[in-house]
Amino acid sequence: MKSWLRLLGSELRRTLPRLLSVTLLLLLAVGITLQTLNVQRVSHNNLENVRIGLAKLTPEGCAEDARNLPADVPAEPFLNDCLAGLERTRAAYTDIEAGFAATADHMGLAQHPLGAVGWAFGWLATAPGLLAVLLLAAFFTAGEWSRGTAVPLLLQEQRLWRLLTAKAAVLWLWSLLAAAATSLGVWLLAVSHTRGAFPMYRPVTSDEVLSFAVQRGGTGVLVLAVACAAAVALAAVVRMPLRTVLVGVLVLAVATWPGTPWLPGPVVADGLGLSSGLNVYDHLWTAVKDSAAPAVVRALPWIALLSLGLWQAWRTRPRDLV
Amino acid sequence: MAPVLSCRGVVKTYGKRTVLDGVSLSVEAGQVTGLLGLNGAGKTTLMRIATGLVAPTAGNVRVLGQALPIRPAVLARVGAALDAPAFYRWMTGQGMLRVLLDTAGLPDEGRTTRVLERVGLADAADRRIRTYSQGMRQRLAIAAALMKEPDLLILDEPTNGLDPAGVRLVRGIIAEETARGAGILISSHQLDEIARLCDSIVMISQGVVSASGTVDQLGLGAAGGQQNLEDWFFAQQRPMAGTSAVEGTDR
Repeated sequence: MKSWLRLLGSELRRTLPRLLSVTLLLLLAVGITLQTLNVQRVSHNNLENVRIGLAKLTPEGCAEDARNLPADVPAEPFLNDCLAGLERTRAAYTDIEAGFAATADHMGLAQHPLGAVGWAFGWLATAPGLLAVLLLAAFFTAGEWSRGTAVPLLLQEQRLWRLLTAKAAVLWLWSLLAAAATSLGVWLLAVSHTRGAFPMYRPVTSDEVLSFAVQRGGTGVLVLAVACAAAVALAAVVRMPLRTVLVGVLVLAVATWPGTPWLPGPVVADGLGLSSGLNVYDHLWTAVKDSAAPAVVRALPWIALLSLGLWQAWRTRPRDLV
Repeated sequence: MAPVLSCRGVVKTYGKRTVLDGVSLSVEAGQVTGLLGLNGAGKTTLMRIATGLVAPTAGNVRVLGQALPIRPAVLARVGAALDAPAFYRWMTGQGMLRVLLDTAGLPDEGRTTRVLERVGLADAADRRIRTYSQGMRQRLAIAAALMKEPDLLILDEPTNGLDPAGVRLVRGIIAEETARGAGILISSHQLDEIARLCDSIVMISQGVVSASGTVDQLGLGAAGGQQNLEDWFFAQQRPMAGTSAVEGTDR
């Protein structure tokens, strides 16, 4: 146990206080916080605008619009058309309002302290967070080989699985710190600005916020753990940082292809509950609706495959250490 | 007494290229074995095999009596400085050694301070490695190899980049380590240094042992003079296809 702690401590000292780690953490925290501000503003404005439009959909509104027509446009036919289609237009606006209200409700969850945690994991366990994990794995794992620093390390410890497990654990810890910093940023934004400027659209119960936070936070913690293990394993196989990033991005692109709900991307999206929001608002991740099976069932083959690959690499020593 | 390092018929191939072809050598406790050869002869590959970093394609390697792969308990008794030393340049010298000890799962207990003093880096212990000269980095690599008080010490061109004071220091360290009972495998291009330091010598040429024996057996003890050593060195090279060894070297 002591030797494990020493190994972890050594890995922590080499990874967390580095410029790349700190920069990526700050970029994610600040970027996601700003995007939170943006999406809350947009969803608030969308709802306000559709409600203003809805309020004008009355016979009086039609008469006013008819009065404001240019002089060369006949007002009578316009007024008749407006009154005839009034109910249909109101129904369409009402549908749009319901959609915007649902989105606004969803965005508004980020104004709650617990909701901010769920919101942060929605980003960190999808494209932005996973790309950052990939970059760090490429730099701090593949980079050990490309810079030659793997040699002195492996002269001290040749059980590669131990070194890589420590690296994956530290990377996971970094991702949790990034989630904590992001949650804090989103919550401070809510307290200082968005709760007042873009108030939550309906009162939410504690259970609702808790459920949101647990689903996103719990799934996010697991997704990040698997992603850190996979990224470090990939980096140790490829052993060159740029190539690791290129292969990783390719894997990520294929894994998130929206063709089938059984690919890892849609599984993660459903696991995090991303389907209910607009992609561009909260996750930049394509979710598949109408999944054939629960996300946890669809995740099992991928976790089994990854575990089998890691186990095989651990059991055998297929190639030279350097 | 069993040798601290024993290689028998070691073969290493990368694809179709054979880097080592049936190399055998042994290093006894308290003795220094020198490894000679031109660049690309296979010395570093053999040292990497002996330290467990590279797996041999065929052959038998025993480190401190144990077959490969090297177990943690055995690795804790092996020290090595290989290739051009690569360290975290943003770390201090002492910080780097602590990271290596932590990686090995060992406590410091004053080891890093002691070895830094031994290699003459005590004053630079708290300086970042990026400010070190090549010779200082070489000394740090030697310090890292000495930290575990190894029974087997493997040094790949340890005097590279060292000034005469550094060379003398390394010579002293090797004498102290052998006196303590450690077996040492050392490679160098400085022939007179090898002839002076080593009890036995193994010459590798194009992946094959072309000469081996004690310094006296090889007639190097009384050879004296750099010219004679060089003549002996080139005489041991296997001729490349269609050319002489010396011509091949020049190329």
